[in-house]
Amino acid sequence: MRALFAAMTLSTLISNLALPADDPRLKDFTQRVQKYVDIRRAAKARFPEPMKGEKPEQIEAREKALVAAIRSARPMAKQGDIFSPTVAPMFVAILKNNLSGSESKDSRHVVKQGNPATETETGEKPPMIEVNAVYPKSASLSSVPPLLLLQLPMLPPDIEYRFVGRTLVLRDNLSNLIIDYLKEAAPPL
Amino acid sequence: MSDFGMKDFGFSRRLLLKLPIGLGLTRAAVAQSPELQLPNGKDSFHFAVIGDTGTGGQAQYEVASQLAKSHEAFSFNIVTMMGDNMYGGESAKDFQRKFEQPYKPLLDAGVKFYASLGNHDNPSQANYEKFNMNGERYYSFKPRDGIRFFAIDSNYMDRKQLEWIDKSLNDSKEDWKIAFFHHPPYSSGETHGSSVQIRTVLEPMFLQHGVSLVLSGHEHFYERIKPQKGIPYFIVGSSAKLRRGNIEKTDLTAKGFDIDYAYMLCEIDKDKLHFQTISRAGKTIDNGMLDRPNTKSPAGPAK
Repeated sequence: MRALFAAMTLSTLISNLALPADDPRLKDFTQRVQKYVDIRRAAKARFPEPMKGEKPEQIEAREKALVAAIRSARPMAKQGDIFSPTVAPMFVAILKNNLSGSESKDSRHVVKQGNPATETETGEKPPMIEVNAVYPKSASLSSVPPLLLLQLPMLPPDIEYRFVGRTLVLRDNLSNLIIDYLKEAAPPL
Repeated sequence: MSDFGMKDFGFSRRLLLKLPIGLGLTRAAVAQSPELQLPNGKDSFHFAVIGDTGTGGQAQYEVASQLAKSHEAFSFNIVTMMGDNMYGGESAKDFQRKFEQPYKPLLDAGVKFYASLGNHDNPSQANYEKFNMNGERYYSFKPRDGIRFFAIDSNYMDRKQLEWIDKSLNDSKEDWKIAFFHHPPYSSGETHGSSVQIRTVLEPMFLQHGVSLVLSGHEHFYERIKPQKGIPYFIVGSSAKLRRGNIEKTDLTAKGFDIDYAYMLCEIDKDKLHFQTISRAGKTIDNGMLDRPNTKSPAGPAK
């Protein structure tokens, strides 16, 4: 399978792996993510645009302000708001397809790299997985296999999928907030 | 020799290398100044490579000190960072202790550091002024005519980034296209080994668009890989962390070094890349010259 992918151009690879755009589950998920992005956009608008090239103190202050603004805009956010019961099985199936069996050994190894549940360095702590919790900078971030990313629904800029153990986390890159998660969605790693 | 014998030998070698007996010797030798073995041409382009640096520990400071000594003899304006720039916290104090203090002599001399992200790095590092990432997880820069670097985020290669890499490499008219990122597409590391998925998506683009050199880290050792499909690959992931005895015997290795910390100096002179890798103790552990791919024998197509 990998040899087949290796011979493909990027556009062929994408067209072979991406979900069909007219899948209703995809539409539902995309709308839910977009709702979050709209909230973030409104929160960001309250602060000056980040400069390209900041001091660590400036980065920290901006992130803290953004966290507070987003939390106050969605105080009742809970698990399943974005990974709804409608879309959750689709994610579980994609993860199973990509991370199970002997042929997926490489992919599982990728997911374990930087995964706070399997690889921590001195001074690093696993994050607490809760919606609206900050994914701490002292925790490492799992790598995500590129071929898996091509099969998962595309996300808007600065929203990303990561793994903590087997749990799939939806994370906001700008605020470091955990937006939603799917507990133990991945098969055993 | 039987398989058992080879494995047995490998285990013993690894066990020996992991013993801390060499520590006193290497620390004692830290004062040795690295002897430059590069042409050091006036018109050539110079840069340095460090990887997996952000510990704030003694080894990072010692390697940084050697790097500064190298800079006195071999003036480079650029240091490329292979990721894992910050282990643990990323507060303002952490940036001080794990980056600004160890590399102060170089920063004061106006050397610019260009970072790529590792799996221990928060993507917000892209905004940090002294990593020169311009707010982007992946980016390119052209330090002089004919040379362009491509910093890739190999932790999270989504469709958007892959399309950017494809387009940026395609649009680049420079002779030297140097890609650098955290996960090595080829590696003889016992802990991680080759990042096969990264290779699956990147290598066809590298071959199609004529990438000349690939630099990475992640493995906490130094390894020069035999050119693969015409492209030279280096792993420099031991500039602050070390996995002693972690290089396994494979056909990939042109040169490996896993018994002390290291960094690399590079010099591009027209179509030639000269390189010298130096240990924390100031000893040259590898050096040589490579022709730019596609100038003599063209790289073969992806298989």
